[in-house]
Amino acid sequence: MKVLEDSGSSVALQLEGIDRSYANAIRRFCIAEVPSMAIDDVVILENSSVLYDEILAHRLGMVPIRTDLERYNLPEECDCGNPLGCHKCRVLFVLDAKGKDKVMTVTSGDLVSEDRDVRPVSESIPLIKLAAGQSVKLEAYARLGRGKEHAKWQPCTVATLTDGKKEGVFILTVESAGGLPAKQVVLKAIELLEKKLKEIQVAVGGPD
Amino acid sequence: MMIPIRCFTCGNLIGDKFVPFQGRVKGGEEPGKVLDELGLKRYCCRRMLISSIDVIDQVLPFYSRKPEL
Repeated sequence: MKVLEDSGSSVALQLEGIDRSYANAIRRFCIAEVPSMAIDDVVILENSSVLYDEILAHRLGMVPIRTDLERYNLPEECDCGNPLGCHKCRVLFVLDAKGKDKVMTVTSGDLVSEDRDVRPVSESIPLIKLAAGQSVKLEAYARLGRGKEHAKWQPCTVATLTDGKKEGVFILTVESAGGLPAKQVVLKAIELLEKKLKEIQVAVGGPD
Repeated sequence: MMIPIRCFTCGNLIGDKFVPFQGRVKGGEEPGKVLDELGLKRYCCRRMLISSIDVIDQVLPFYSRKPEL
C-alpha cells in the first residue's frame, strides 16, 4: 500500500493485495457509513425574509460543519436516551439577524455555536439575504448522521476506485466535504467495516 | 433564488465561492481561470457558479421597510 497524495482535503491511496470488492466496500463506507455533523432540526422563531422556512432549513442543513467524532455520539448510539438529545449528541446553533437600512447577507459566520470547535467549515457561506426591516431568528440543532440517511451527512464528496497500472492494484481517491480530514474518513471507514464484519462473524457463530 | 450551498452533483461546497467569483468576473477576469483558482476542478461544480443568478436581488427592492408607527 502506498499513499499517493494526502492534502488534508483529499487522499489518494494505492491498494495492493486486496480484493476489488473489499476495496469498493471501503469506498462505499466512506460515502454512506462514516458519520459527520450537519444541522438536522431547525426551530424557526421568526422569519420575515423572502425565503420559506423549509428552504431556509434546507440551506442550513447543507452547510458542512467541522466534526469531532471523539466527543460526539450518534443520537441512536448515545446513552442519554433522550429523544431531544444531550450535550454529547447534539450541538445548538443560534441565528439572530435583522436587516438594517440596506440589503444584507446573512452568512454561516453569523451562526453562533454552543461549541467553539463545532462550527461551519467556512464563515462566508451566504444563507439568506434580508431587506431593511426583515428579520430571521432561529435555533438549529446539528447532530451526527450517516450519508445513507441524507447526503448532507456524507463526509466525502467524491470517492472513486480506479484500476492501477498493474493487475490487482487499485487507486482509492477520497475527497473530503470539509467536516473531517479525508484521511480520517478512510480510517474511520476501515474501522466501521471491520466492526460490521465482526458482527457477521459473531452472528454466524464464529470466534469472537 | 440564491446560490446553492453545495454542488448538486458531487456535494462540494460552492456557496462561499460565488461572491468572489462574481466580483472577479465582473472585474474583467476570465471566468475559467477564476474557477481554476477557486479550486473547482470538476465541471459539475463549475456549472453551479457559471449558471447561477441570485434572483433574490431582483425581489428584495420590493420589500422596503414598512413605515414605523
